[in-house]
Amino acid sequence: MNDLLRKQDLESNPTPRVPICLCLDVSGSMGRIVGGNVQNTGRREYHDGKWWNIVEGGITALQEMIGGVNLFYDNLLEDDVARYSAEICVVTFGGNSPELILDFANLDRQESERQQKISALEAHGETPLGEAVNMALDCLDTRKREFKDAGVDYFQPWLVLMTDGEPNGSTAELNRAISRTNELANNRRLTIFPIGIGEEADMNCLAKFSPKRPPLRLKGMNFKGFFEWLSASVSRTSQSMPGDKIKLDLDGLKGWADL
Amino acid sequence: MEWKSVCCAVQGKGHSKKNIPCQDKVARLEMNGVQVIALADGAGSASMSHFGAECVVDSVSKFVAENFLDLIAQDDGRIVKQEILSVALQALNDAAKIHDCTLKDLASTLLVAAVGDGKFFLVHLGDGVIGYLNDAGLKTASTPDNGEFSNETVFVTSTNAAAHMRLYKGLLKKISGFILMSDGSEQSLYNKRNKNLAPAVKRLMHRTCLVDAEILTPQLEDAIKSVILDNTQDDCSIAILARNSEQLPPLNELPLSERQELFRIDGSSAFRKVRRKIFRCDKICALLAKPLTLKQLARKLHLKPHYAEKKLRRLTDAGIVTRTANGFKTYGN
Repeated sequence: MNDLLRKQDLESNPTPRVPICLCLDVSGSMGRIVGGNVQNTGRREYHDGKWWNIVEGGITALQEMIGGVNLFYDNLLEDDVARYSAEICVVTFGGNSPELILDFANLDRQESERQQKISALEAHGETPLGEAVNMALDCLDTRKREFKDAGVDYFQPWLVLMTDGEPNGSTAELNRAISRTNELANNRRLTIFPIGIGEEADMNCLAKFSPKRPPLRLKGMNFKGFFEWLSASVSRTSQSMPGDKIKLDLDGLKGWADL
Repeated sequence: MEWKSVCCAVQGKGHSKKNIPCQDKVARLEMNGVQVIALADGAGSASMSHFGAECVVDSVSKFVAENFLDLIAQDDGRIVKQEILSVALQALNDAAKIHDCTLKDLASTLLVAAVGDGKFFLVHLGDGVIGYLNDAGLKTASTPDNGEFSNETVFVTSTNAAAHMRLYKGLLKKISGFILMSDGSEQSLYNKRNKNLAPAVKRLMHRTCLVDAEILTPQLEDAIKSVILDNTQDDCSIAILARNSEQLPPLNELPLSERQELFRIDGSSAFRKVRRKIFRCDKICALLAKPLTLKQLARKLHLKPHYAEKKLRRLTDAGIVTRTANGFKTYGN
């Protein structure tokens, strides 16, 4: 150790960021039971374009997804580099319109809000998928502008789109969202992961969002496998350097996706 | 005032974890009164980029030193860019044959600064920063050429390299320092928001003028390891050219405390014994402004050569005095 470089005479630039937007389906159908013990109440209700048997108990698809999202955060918080590099925003779509649940922020600063808001998600209403993707892209654009203004380097943004059904919002909004993601992905300005949940996910529609990579269908309800894979991928990206090609671990997909 | 140079490259945390060699390479050379420093950051995605970066700094620094005046005189920048790229690519083609790989496997950035005949010449391709010091302070000459995203930049082997290469030339006038830094060092030595160099750069330039590069280089490596590596995963490298000026005063114009630090003399200068040691070093440095043999120096100090050598050792160890072919000389001006 010598006195050639004094810490007070150095600059401290922010860690390059990996912006990730989770665009998650919380429509009524995500409240369907996918495991656990249930008791039938004998009631039937019409939601999200279908009739449903109302039961008590059991584990819903949304609860499985919430567990996966929380695991994603926990894994990133345990990673020395990704903890400061990853920035997550969460947009949900249910009801009649999308909702920005968590805006971009450093994970540590977002922590208490995350614990409160992610666990409180409820399945309800329709599937305004196009509107949600447009909101997610707007959030990513705003964050990129903020990064540029603040002199913060950043990696190509990621958009994770998860749905279990087919969109039933505005067709114009859906087409606009498809056109925006295609343009960004084709120009290498966005990495998009369209993920279908369950057998009824509209894989044809998801495919339209992703010109370079086909959508993947989650194996069963293996949200845990997907979010573990995603956090490992974010971690690798956060440690990459200029000139590095960011390669996704395609073999790792097999653990959670039906290929 | 005579120009001095120093350079070093240190393997980053990301590469040491994965056992990947340091892909930053640096070079410095002096030829026919021209001083050149060069730095190249090998591409992370290119498996042999450490060889490529080395080839590029060696070939281009030699070419610039040999052709400095012609490069400065050439008004058409496109010709200069083509010449530099063809020298680099020729060296890379040869390396590709030796290492049995493609040109892309050898991809790297390139930063060069050269001075001579009262003029300077700078080359910048890719990320990293070129800075300089004039009478008004530290300035940025060339900012990083990144794409939109953090992992994007341009390399010598890129098809659009000529379009992205930046050249700068001019009269040195009051310029007394240049620094080249890779993007790893940039994290600590450059403010990305306001595009200013860190104050630490001036101190490094000053030491470059005063301390023998052979002694300064390992000190610089230690300093980078202990302070700069913590702020990045990437390799870190810098190369500096500097000369004494009002901003970088010569040894005899420095305050007592700074001379004491440079001579590596411990203790408070309030003590006469400490001050006497400092003044003795001052005297030796003044005598060695011109090269002297040990015998000549001993005679001027009225000491036996054996004792003169002992007094001299403190200064050679500190890099303030350097060995010449026949004797010793103060390193700075």
